[in-house]
Amino acid sequence: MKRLWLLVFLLLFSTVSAQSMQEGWERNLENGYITTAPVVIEEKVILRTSGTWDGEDRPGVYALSLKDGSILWEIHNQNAIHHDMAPILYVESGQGCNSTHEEMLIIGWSDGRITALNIADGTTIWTAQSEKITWGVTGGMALDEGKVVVPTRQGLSALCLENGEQALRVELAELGWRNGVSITQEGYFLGNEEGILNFVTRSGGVEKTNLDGGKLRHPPIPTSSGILTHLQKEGSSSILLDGELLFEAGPSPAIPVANGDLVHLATSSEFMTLDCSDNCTIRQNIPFHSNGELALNGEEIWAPRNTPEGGWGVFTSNGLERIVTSSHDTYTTAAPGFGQNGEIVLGSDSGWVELIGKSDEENDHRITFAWCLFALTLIFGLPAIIQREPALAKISLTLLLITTILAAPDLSKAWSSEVAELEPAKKDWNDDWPEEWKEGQVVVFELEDEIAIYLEGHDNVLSATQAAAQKEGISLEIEQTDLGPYLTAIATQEGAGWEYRIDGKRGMLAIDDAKVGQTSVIRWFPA
Amino acid sequence: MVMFSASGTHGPVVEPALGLLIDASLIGAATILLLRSSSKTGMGLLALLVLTISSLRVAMADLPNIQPVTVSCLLVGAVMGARRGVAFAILVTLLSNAVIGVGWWSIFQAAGWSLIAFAGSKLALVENEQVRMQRLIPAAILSAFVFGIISSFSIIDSSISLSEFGIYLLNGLFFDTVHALGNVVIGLWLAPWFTRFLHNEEFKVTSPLEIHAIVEG
Repeated sequence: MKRLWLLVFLLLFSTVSAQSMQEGWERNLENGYITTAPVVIEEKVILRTSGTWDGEDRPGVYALSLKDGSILWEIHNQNAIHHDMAPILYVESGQGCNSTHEEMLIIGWSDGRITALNIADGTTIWTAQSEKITWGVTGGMALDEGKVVVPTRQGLSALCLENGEQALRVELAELGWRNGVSITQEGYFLGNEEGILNFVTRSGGVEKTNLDGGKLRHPPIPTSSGILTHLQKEGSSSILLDGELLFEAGPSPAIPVANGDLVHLATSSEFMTLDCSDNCTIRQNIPFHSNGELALNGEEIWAPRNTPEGGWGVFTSNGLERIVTSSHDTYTTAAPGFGQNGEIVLGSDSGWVELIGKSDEENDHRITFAWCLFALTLIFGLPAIIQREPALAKISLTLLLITTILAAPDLSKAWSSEVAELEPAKKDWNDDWPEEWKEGQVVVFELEDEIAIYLEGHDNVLSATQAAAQKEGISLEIEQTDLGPYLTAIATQEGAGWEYRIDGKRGMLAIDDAKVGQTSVIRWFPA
Repeated sequence: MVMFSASGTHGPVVEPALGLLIDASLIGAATILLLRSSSKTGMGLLALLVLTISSLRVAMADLPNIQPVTVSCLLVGAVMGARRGVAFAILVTLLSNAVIGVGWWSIFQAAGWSLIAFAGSKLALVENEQVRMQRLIPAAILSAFVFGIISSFSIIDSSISLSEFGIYLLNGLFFDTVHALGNVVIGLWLAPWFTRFLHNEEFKVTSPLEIHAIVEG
């Protein structure tokens, strides 16, 4: 009987391990939209809600357990007037203006208040008040020389971290909205609703650059080539470098993010990467719909998709790698929060917060663990073979099985890639298609009527399919599984799922791993 | 009447009416096999066994092709005979698929495990109430690949060529190997205990010879 329990334990342990790598937890805050990225600090997830459902409840700040999502503490600002969209700022303990300060969270509120909270229990360390003109603080704050620099509704304040005392105050003429501030060696940059780029020196001097209309709703991006800004205009947007127009782009720009001189931007029409090492040139421009916060996670850029389907587009230098979905997808503008051990925390307008795993880092841990088990298998297995020892053989085979389970996603992918090479490509061409389509990629959806879309420049099936769907206004539903993303519905048609062929060859890999040639036909048909 | 609504990764997607018909046929087959079994004793425990192994399969569904059902089928077939072994295979398939996913493929999975249970009844895997590992382990390995082939028949339809089917089988070889490895581990750890459990008096197959001995008794 003991052996039964031991084996059941080992296999169930593997099951639980496999599940914990992809699932995590979820929690409905039942308070309102999550519009800003959760912040993961050691074993806590800190996040805030902005507008609430009923207008009666007040937006709050929550600390959840990273382990299970339970609420550790929460605070609500009874004076908040919703639209609490200033990102949470985490501050490590350190030196303030005149003395040291403890570790804290700094929260900017829509009523103009700025509060420093104790991360352990949410109690207030200090409070400061800035002007409220309909709204208060809605933009991203930043740290500078022992101070927190706050873009207020109509100005800029620098507050000492140890006590919140005002070290600098600059009044500005224009009102700001989500007017995040950025810090440079020379001083501070921030914009406003009138299309003015303000440069504020540390002594309080102000220089204004008129960006010729539009609304500046993100922290300006310092690059080697100058200050990059992305202005929101009526039905479009403008990307400027040092006030000079570079490009026109789609409407409702997202909050851009920079990784060195690579700047990533998005609008309702596209995701874009600019290389600003020497002037700012377009590296990639991919159809996508993102209006919220973009975020970096290693080499990946995560863009919340602000459509009814929701989810997060994950981009790399190779384009759109995959769409990450959650159980409660809807319009999404908040970037994910990323933990040090690969945890990914997602929040959206649904008010649900969800922890998922399976980041690359976690995947690396899994592989390392698998190798360790494999080594153990050899240690137990070789004596078992040499000495014909049944007990050691049992242990070594069990370890080998667990190793195989852990390595299965990678091994099966490698195997499928090899097998896929064996099947010869077939002609998949419709003579009704324009002849020039032979020079690019065609994505075909076998819906009631066959829909064919012409594209260029995509590397994998996921990227091409999403681009095609977006171009034609077709909705897609994609689930993230342990073996990769899986397309479950096209134009809300689920059936038993969908399969694909590339140039007539049945797809065997996850759609983000399935490479396509520059003149391929990708055909989706009901599974 | 069109019974198939689409062609799927596991074969045609069946309409609810056909799904019901498949389930009813499989349950009917299992019932007939049980009724025709030479012994009617131990039905309650057989039901418990079906429930336990089905639960175990569902619990392990997230593991890549670890199938506790396969070795169970071999041993149930070996100890309880072909009819109850096949009935066990059918019922476990239906019950666990009710949670994991029911469809056209259930027929092929049930067929695969039934064949394995039948093979188990013919391979003399158990002798003097002791499992013969040197027979069970090769049978468990072979069963994984046989089951992989039989359950893959579910994808065959007019759109798939022979070479495509070959590629499909080849693509599944990795998971069949994991299945085989899982069978070996489950067999090594659990088969002796499971065999003793099955040899509970309630389970024993009462052979005609034994019946004669009892009557003469």
